[in-house]
Amino acid sequence: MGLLNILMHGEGISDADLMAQISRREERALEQLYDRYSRAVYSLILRITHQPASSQEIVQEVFLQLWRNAHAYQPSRGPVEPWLLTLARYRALDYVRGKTEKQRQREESVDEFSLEVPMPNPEQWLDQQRRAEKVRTLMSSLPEAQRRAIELAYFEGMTHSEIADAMKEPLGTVKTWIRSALTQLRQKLAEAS
Amino acid sequence: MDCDQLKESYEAYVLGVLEGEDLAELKAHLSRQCPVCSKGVGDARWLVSQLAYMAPPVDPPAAIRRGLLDSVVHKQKRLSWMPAWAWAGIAASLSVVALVSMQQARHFQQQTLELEARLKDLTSETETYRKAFAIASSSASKAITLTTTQPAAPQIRAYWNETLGLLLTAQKMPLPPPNRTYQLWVVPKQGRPISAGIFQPDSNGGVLLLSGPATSIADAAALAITNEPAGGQPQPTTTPIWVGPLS
Repeated sequence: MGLLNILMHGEGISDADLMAQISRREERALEQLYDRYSRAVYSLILRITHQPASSQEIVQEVFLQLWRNAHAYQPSRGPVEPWLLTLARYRALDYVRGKTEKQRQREESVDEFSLEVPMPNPEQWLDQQRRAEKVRTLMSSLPEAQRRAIELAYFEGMTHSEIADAMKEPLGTVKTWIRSALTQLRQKLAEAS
Repeated sequence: MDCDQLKESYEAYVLGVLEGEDLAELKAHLSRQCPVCSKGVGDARWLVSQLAYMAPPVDPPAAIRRGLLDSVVHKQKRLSWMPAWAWAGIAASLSVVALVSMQQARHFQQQTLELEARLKDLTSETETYRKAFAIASSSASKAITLTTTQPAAPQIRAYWNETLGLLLTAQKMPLPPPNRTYQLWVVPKQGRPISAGIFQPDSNGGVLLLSGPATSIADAAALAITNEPAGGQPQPTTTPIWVGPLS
């Protein structure tokens, strides 16, 4: 894990260690974690909301959530990064859909690290920047319609039928596009760096 | 569908595109804690989270970082004068204090009720003595001595005031037999005796009875005390033990 984090972040301190420090209310650890992931989190939220001012508030809310619930984080349940990105996506989609806090609580909660995200294989832990590049490269290589289907799913939160309606494509085709894109993504990320 | 068939839906489920029967079936399967599918969905969460990098990279404004840290530092300043374990200790102590306080509160509440009852008794007692003193000290009251033929039985004093009422006092009065009570009568010049109340001496034989007889002093010939069954009687059933003429 230490070597992986050095590869990932160029630093000797792991996300899990930072989370432990954050749970002890060490502000410096929050700063470090923020510096690692704020770009990805902000970019994602801005892409979903298209509103810089609201995106700033949501980013702050996501990291404050992390600050408040750091004590509940268990490294055995998975790394921090996917939790942060998942929470950021949910929060941004909730904002776009106008959901209230109460409505959010009724649905699947990611607020307290409740989701289990097993540690991927070491070869998948390319550094964040390289993974991001691989994702973008793959997506840009997809046919326009297929990429659009994935974007509507991920950034707009649409279901299979909604995407089919929006794109005026058969439901089966949409399902195949999305499944195929994700399979390719898995393969690309699994390739040795 | 079995796990092998459901695995096709893991990514779609996490992505949020799954719907209808497929979604219901996978949810139901996951609710049964299937280890294979739970792990598969966990893997899918990681994969889907990586789609975040499809977003065009944009540097976050510095204001977010400042705002976040300001917010955290602000919270810290309010709480930082004690470490987390101290707060936990305080919370535990407060729980104990709250428990003890609740018990004490119940105890105090009980004591308060008892004191209120005692105060009520004392207030009533004080009022009785005040009335008794007023009757006994009034020049308008008529003093009456009730005597008895029984050996060792004390004399009893009564004071009758037309306005304030009738006061009967005694000391070292013997207790009546069990299930018996003393009853005071106003014996009118004409007609049957009128009850002026029942009473029991206290443990020292003391008596202080206040009454408002339903007749006037002028119409009364005497006061008499009989020994009656507990609760009293409408008319005397025994020979009076003490008698005090008013003339």
